Amino acid sequence: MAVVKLFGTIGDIAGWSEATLAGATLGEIKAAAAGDNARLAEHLDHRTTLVILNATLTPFSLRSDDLAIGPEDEVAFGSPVGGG
Amino acid sequence: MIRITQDPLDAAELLRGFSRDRLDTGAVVSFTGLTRGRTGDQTVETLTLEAYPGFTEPVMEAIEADARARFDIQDVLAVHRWGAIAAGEPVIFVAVAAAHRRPAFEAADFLMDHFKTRAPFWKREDGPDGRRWIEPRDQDHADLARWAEETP
Repeated sequence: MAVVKLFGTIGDIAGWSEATLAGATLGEIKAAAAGDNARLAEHLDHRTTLVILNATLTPFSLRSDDLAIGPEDEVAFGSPVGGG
Repeated sequence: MIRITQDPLDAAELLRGFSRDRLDTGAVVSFTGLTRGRTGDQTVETLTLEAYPGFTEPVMEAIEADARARFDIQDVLAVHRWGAIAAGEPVIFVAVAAAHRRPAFEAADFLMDHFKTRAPFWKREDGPDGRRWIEPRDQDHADLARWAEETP
């Protein structure tokens, strides 16, 4: 289990912004978050999506689907920032 | 100092407090960013910023540290509002104090270019034509590139 938060367009696509989901790896968390929402799955996997683990940005090179996620962890996904 | 808040910003009061009792300061430069009521031909009624408290502030603090290392400045205050903000209201206040004006102007410019592009706020405009998420623009990256080319 992990707390999952979604920011920006990703939250809109999901229709929710925070949930507690089952999963012991980043890949399992993404699968649980996306469910049957293929567009959300695509965004969660996208290179430009920010993946933030316990309030620290996880570089693209370190965010393999095998990345271990603990029960106390908080995982956030955000669309790219900037503009306005 | 970096702060994020859901409360309205009083830029005049922030500037007054920041400028108080600065006997070694010769320049205070401040910037107040307002929520625009129009984007192109679309009316904007509300700008909504999502923030991630605990993540957003450290990113902004790293940008402040960059500015302090790069420019000969004495102090920084940046207050960024988040949540739903009506058109015309302040969304960000930045002030820089320095002994002389040039580094104060340049640091304020540097801070805004970097906050605009790198600070983790997710922005959405709502109006009579619907909602629109604000995406990164080429101009933001061009603004950042200025600082890679210029000599401090």
